[in-house]
Amino acid sequence: MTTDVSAERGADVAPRVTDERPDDGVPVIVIDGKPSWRRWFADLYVYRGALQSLSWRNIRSRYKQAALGMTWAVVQPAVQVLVFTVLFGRMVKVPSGGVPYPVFALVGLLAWNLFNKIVSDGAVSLVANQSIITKLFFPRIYLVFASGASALLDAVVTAVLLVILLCVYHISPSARLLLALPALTGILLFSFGFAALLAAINARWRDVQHIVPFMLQVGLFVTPVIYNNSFVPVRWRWVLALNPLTGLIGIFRAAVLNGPLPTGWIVNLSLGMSVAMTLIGVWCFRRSESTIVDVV
Amino acid sequence: MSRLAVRAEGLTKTYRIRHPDAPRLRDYLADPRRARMRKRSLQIDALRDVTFDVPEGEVFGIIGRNGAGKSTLLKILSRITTPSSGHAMLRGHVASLLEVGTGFHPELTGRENVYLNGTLLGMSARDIAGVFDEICEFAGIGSYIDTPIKRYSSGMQLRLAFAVAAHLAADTMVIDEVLAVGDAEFQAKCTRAMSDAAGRGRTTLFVSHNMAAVEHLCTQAILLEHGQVVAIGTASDIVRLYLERVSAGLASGLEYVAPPKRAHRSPVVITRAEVAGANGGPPVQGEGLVLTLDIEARQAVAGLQLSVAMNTMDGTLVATLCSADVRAEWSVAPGAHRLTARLCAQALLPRALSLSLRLMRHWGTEVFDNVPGALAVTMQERDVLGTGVPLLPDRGIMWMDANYRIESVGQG
Repeated sequence: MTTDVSAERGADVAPRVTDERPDDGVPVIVIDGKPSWRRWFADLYVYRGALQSLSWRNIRSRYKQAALGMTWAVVQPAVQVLVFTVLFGRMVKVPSGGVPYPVFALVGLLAWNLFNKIVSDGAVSLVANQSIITKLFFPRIYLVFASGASALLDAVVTAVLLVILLCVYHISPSARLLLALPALTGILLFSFGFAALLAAINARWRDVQHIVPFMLQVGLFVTPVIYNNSFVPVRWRWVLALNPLTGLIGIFRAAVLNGPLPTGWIVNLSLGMSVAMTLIGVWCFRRSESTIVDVV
Repeated sequence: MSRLAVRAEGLTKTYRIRHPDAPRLRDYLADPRRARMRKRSLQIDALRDVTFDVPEGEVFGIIGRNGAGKSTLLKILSRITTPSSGHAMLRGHVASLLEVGTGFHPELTGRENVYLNGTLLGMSARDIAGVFDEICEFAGIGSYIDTPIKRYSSGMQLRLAFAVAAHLAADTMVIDEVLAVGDAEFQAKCTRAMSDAAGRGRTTLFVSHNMAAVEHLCTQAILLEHGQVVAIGTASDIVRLYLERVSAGLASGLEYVAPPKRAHRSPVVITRAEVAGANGGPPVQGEGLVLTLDIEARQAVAGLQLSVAMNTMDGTLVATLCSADVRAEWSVAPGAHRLTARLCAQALLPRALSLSLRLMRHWGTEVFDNVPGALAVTMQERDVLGTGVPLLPDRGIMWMDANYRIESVGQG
């Protein structure tokens, strides 16, 4: 029998499902305009396999059908170091605090390239995968995370290069190397937070993907990556400190090369800013997440 | 009363789209006061106050014409987008198949793609490992499983994609038009897999233009029109109601306009389509049909072909015409184009038919746009032969001319 809709609604006999977990333990998914944070974190767990396979996809497809394959992950930082050594080490004679310039530059570039790749790939991740996000539900932030996978792999390759260079120059790390851990954590937090923020904005305004490469290009020169803080006049150093990467790369360099740590307040500020960026990034991403598919 | 698997209450989805006359930045600069007075956005209700319940284990059909809100409803239920208001509840793990093989990457091997697709559908790596051999067997891929799928034929890719879908372990499945792809054998396999799933007590929501499939597979159905619920009831009642409304012209369409929110990533899409009689008037029996398509190319496309599939309303395929049959294919420059097709449909009887349109290349190996059931047409009855006994649908789908002769072959 065809039922009239209005009558159907009047006779509301079925029990209303309101609880997330009714008596029989089968979870109930509630769909409404504003999904809860609890649901958001639960989905991160349920779909954890998606993060793994999306990361694998990004790593596998990156150097596919390139004659040199993974070699490119070595060639890129090597050429960067070569160019910067000639330009800044030899010609401009940037002070590197007594450390051989190639090692000095490679440490900075390892950290910078990690940030650079996570942000440049992460910012376009939603748009690049729109054919998937318009057809399937899974935590969209995994696309941002997964786009960092190949950046992490590249960083590992660069690290191997760095170890070789350290041996060549007879530089042995000290217990200070442990500080590399908080430094890298800070860089990852800042990078992923920033990438999530940009990805969410880029879904609506594609201008982002035109600004990002340009911004990163400028960023390499306004961040102490290939030069030291001491290269900048003292009265302007506070400007550098507004960039959390200044402090983070500073700690990382001090850890690997057993050099002096940046000033205490710069360290605290940069770690604080990277935590803040993660929170802002995730919060903005989630806010726009529910309508991303409608605007992408 | 059995337990509910799905409960939707007052689901509404409003899209805000840019008004065609919305002021641009330069209008604000030129005359800010006038620019501010102009309308900036349009609100479109893709779904309005949709309420229904689906008991556990039911196969629930969702039918309606293009733009009736079916896809929007599925997207909300599969959590791809959120409703503007109202809410829904779904019991257990929900898997949605709005397309098979979502996320397949050409550079990855068959094995890697199974894991990628499976995990995106919400399975864990362990779940997939458990059914991996079955998936391979179902797909019949054999030793190609570790070959990148860009080396597969499109049929192999499709079989692998469906094999993953068929082995999904979910309590509730949301399926859109998946049966519309592939050859007859493949469709039969899919239909079987769906009835098996239903037999195992899995709740399924199923959208299709194929009324025969809906009637065969579904127990209950809902009919949507213009984003609103027209009726809910047993599948056969709802299908009948839908067909009545189509033949009465209520739900019909001699014209199709692509919904404004339709994703536009393809290099060329259909923006509007219209079917008329040979002379531009209403379609009349014994005359041909003229199909006019407005298409929009975002980039230059060479070798563009059009295919038109005609189905009766119960899903029987009457004919599939491809422009390349008569060596017609086009190279289009970016911009809007109008494509006209004159169909020699003189033999059709006055029966409701749906036309599915597809823009493609290389005989469909590359599909740019696909609009199943875009148009519906019923020829006006006319005494074509002048015998006084009109040819009506009780004679079948079409009539054909014949020569008759009788001669004596012996004396009795």
